[in-house]
Amino acid sequence: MSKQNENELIQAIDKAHLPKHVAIIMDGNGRWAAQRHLPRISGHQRGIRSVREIITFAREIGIETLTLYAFSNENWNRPAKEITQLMILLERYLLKELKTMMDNGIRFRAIGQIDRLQSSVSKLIHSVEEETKQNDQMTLVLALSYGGRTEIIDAVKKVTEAVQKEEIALKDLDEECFSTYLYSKAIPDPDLMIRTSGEVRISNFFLWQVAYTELYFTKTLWPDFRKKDFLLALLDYQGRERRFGHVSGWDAMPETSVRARERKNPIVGE
Amino acid sequence: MPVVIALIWTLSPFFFFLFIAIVILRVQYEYYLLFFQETEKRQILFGLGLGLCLLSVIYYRLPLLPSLFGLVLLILLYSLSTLREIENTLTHIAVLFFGIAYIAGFLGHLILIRQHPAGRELIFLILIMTWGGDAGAYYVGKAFGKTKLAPRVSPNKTVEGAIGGLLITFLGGAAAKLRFLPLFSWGDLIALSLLLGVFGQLGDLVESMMKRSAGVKDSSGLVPAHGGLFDKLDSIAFAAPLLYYYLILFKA
Repeated sequence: MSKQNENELIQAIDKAHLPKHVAIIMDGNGRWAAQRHLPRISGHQRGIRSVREIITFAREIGIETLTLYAFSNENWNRPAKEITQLMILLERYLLKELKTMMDNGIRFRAIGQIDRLQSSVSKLIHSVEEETKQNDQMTLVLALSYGGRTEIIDAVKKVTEAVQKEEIALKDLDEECFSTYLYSKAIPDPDLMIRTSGEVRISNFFLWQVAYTELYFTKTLWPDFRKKDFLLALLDYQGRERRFGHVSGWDAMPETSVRARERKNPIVGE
Repeated sequence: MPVVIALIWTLSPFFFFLFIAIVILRVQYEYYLLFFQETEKRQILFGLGLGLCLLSVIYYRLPLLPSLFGLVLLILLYSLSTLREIENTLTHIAVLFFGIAYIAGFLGHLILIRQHPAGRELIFLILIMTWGGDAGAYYVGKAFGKTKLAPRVSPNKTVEGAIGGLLITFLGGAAAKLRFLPLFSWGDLIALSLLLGVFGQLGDLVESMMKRSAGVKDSSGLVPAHGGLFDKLDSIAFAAPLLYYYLILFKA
C-alpha cells in the first residue's frame, strides 16, 4: 500500500492530460460484506459511499465523463431479494442526488436496457435524465441492465432495419456510423477503465467501446475504493503511452507519447 | 450451540474468562471491520490487544483509573509512532478506543458476573432472558405485529413484538428462578425483565446507529440481522452490565 498521502498524489497529477472519459466496473461489494459477516446488501450500501466520493472528486478534478457499471445483464440472475434491494437503493440514490447533480452541473444518463427495470425505477431514471439534460460540467453515465454483446446485437438489428428502410446504405456503414446505434451514442469511448476487487476481466461491459481503452485493475474492493485509489489509477494512466495502433516516435500522437517519455513515471498503481 | 452451553457450565471462572475473552475479542474485531480498511490490520490487532488488557484488568480486579490512563496513553503513543494520514488520525483513535471501552468494557461484565457464587446460573439467566426476549419479540412481532414502535428508527419493530419479547423474557427468567436460581424474588424478576426490555431496545438503537454510521445500513429497514457475532451479542452487551449492577445494588 502506497505510503504517499492524497495531497502528494494530487500534486503529481498532470491536470492538462486527464482522461476525458473514465469508466469503472464497481466490483467487490458482495465480497466486502462477506468478509465482515454482513449481508450482501450492506456491501452495496457501503459501496454508495465510494460512488459519491468518486463522482464528487471526478467533478472536482475535471473528468468530463464518468461511467459507472452498476447493474449488468448477468446480475439479473442474482436472488430476487437482492435485486429488489438494489433497486430500492438505486431509487433512493437518484432521488437524493438529483439536487447535487443540478448544483454541480452534472448531466445524468443511463445506458442499457432500461425498460427491463421495474417501471417506477425506469420512470425515475428518465425524469432525472430530462431534468439534468442541460447540465454541462460533467456527464455521469450509469450502466444499468447493460450487456456489451446485447448492445452490439441491438445495434446490428437497428442498422439492419435502417438499411431495409433505406435510411442508410450498407456501404456507408463505418465505425463512426455504427457507434451511433449503440446505447452509448454521443458518449466518447472511455480513455481509462478501472475494475476493482482484483478480477481481471471485462465481464461483458463496454466491448465495442474499449478498443483502445487503457485498462486498470486493482485488488481494492469497491466499498474501500476512495479518492486516493482513483488518483493512483489516474497517475498510472498518465504514465502510459497511448499509441492507438501507431508506432511510437514521430508518427505517434504528439501530446500523449512525447509527454509520457518526458515525464518520469511517478507512481505505478498496485 | 450445545457445546457453548456445556462450556459455560463446566468452565471455572478462569477458563470462562479465557473463553469469553476470545468471544469478546471476536466481536470487537467485527466492530473494527465496520470502520477500518483491510490495509489497517495492524491497528485492529493493536486494538484487540488492548481489549484483552482491559478484560484482564476486569478479571483481576485491577484498579480502574490507572488502567484507563494506561490504555489511553498506549493508544496515543501508538498513534504517534504509526502516524500515516493525519486526516484520519483522530477518527482512528476514537474508533480504536471506543471499540475497547464499549465492546470489551460492556461485555466484560460477564466476567464479573461469572465470579459471583451463583455465577454459572446467572450467565445462563442472561442468555435465556436476552435471547429469549429477542426471539420472542421477533416471532410475536411476525405473528401479531400491527402498530409500529419507532418507524423512523427501526421500521420493523412493533409494539406487539416488544410486549411479546418482554413476556418471554419474564417467563424465561421465571423458569430459571424456579429451576436453579432461587436468588431472585418475583419482584426482582419483574424489575429485571422491564429493565432488560428497556436496555434491550437501547442496545438495538445503538447497534443501528453504528451500522448506519459505518454506511452499511440506512433507514429503509433493508438490512436484516446477519451471521456475525456482533449481532448476537449486542443485546447481551447491555444486559450484562445491567445485571451486574443490579446484583451489586440489591443483592450484595
